[in-house]
Amino acid sequence: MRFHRQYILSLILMLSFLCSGNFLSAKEKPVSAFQKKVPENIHDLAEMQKQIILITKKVMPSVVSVRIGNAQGSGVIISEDGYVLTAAHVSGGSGKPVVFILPGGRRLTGTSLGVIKEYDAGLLKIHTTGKWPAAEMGDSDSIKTGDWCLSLGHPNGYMYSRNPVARIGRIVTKRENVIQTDCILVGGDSGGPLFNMQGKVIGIHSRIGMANGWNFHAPIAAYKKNWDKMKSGKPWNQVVKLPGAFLGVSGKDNPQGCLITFILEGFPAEKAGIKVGDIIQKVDVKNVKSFLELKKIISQYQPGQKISISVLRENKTVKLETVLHR
Amino acid sequence: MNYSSLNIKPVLIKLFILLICFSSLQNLNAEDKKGQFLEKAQTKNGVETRGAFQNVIKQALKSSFKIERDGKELAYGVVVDSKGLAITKSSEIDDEMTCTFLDGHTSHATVVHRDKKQDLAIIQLKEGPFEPVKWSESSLDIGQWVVIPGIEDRPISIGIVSGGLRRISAERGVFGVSLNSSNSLLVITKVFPGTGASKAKLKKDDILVSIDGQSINSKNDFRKSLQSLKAGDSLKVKLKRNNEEMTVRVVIGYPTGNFFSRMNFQNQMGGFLSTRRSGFSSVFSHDALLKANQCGGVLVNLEGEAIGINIARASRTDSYALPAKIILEIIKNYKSKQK
Repeated sequence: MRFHRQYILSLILMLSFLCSGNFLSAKEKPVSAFQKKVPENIHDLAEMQKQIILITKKVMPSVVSVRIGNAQGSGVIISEDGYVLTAAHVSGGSGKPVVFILPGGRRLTGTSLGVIKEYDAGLLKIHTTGKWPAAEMGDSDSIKTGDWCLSLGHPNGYMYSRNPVARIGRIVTKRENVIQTDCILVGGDSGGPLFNMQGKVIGIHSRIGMANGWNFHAPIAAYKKNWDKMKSGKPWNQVVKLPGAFLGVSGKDNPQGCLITFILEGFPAEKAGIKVGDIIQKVDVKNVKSFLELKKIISQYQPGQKISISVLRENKTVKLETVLHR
Repeated sequence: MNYSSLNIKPVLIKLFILLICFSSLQNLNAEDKKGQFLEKAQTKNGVETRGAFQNVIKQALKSSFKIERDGKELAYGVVVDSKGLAITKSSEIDDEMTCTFLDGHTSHATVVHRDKKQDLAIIQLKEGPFEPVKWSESSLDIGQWVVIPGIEDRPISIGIVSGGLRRISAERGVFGVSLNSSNSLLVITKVFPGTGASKAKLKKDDILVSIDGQSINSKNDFRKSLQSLKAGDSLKVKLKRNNEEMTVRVVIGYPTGNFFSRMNFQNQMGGFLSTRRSGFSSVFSHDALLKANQCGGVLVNLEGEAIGINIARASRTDSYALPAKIILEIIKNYKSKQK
């Protein structure tokens, strides 16, 4: 045992030595412009530009337009034999015929495989025989806030005269189930790829919010983790529900209801006149006792529906009305 | 061949991207924000990130100006020769305007030529000094930086070339009235809400006299005068109301309808779009954020040379720019006609 301990200790020492060695060599080399908080000078910008142009060229052929029934979105080929990543809400579930359009206009056919709805992840397969231009899947677990990234896709739908459209941005935040960037997206981009600066896929476009910095992507880890499940194409968990209505607050549980701690600018809560510090007690006739409950109640409404909200403000009950958002 | 985006059987096709749902925002509490979120100043278009491009626009800033009328910002523009000739986006400006430069000096300017096809106006500035912008002759790469000077040391926006040169087909415009003709008088019987006609405050029983100087005596005349117009174009309409003649400017609108509302809604998220945003023979797109009233000025490459003029804020994801080559041709043609 003792020997083992010593052995481990020396191993740790050796490792730390190796690490410090790496650290030193990293210090000698100039830090890449992509690693900096922000680029500092024209030299940094030129270095970044060279890499962005290079990876855009490299990955462009792998980005496809995807048509499933009446739905149209984007996708990315990730294997030469024709597996294509897209969003669950583009796919809608397994076993449907798919038309893929490559940059340049060539059309291929295939089918949809499984979806993992909690990540908005979907998998498709090209059946036309051939060797397809594939992008490499990267690692979304090691993503850091501020990393630069590149979006490709077909904003506003496929257009004959246009290649997939490129957009640059940075990671705004990252959670287990979603990546947020300021690579700006719009309808038609769904299912398209988010690349890191090595040109590897780290996410798939999923949804957007009002602000320009609200672009959300499913992390590639979700696809890797559920690969076999999706590939089997079994009708697994495949009912894709569109999100319900949206109020635009966040809050905390409170003995008297839900205490509002944050209000999003321009959203229904603000328009109704709800203020930070208000305690929401009722939505229409339903009592609210926690934030989770408020979330649940609101999500059962449809966007566009009018609701009345009772809030406790300075010990007085105030009744407010608003129309819920998409 | 039709290059338009909207010819893809729009009624049948759902363009997918979900709007944000509630659950993604539940963690937006202030205490959560620190550390996990990228600081706003360091986002792609944040103050610090744009600061890195400050030296890139030093030269172009000397030629760039902001256009205002009655204190309202309308567009940007750029000086193209040493005698004070400059260019901007035509549909955003009236015939007279005030231009303000980085160094604080202002100049009165007058439109001397409008190129309706490219939506470009050539204007003559009065008070110098005039520093002509330097144009780039190199070809464009998708992914190259684009930097947009305003009239401040920092660029107003940065981004990359997102799509190569292509044609953007014109969309048929809507005037917004129904007419009745009797005794060679053309009388407005209805003004449709939300259209250019309604915004120009045309009224039922107004009599149309002329459009852009051409007299209008029949429905056919009216149709003819609108034939070559595209959404975003504007017209000078002379009309008679209660026996008084008046002239109003009517902007031809984009067709609207239920289907387009969701798409339009998404595309307008993050800012209004240019009134004229289609019908260009050759533009490239970039992803730099731009407001509709920030078009008309140059965008430069890392070498600081102008690669084009911002001609439209076209969607949530796209700004369009006319390439340097087209602009140089228009200026050359104009000048050769003056000789």
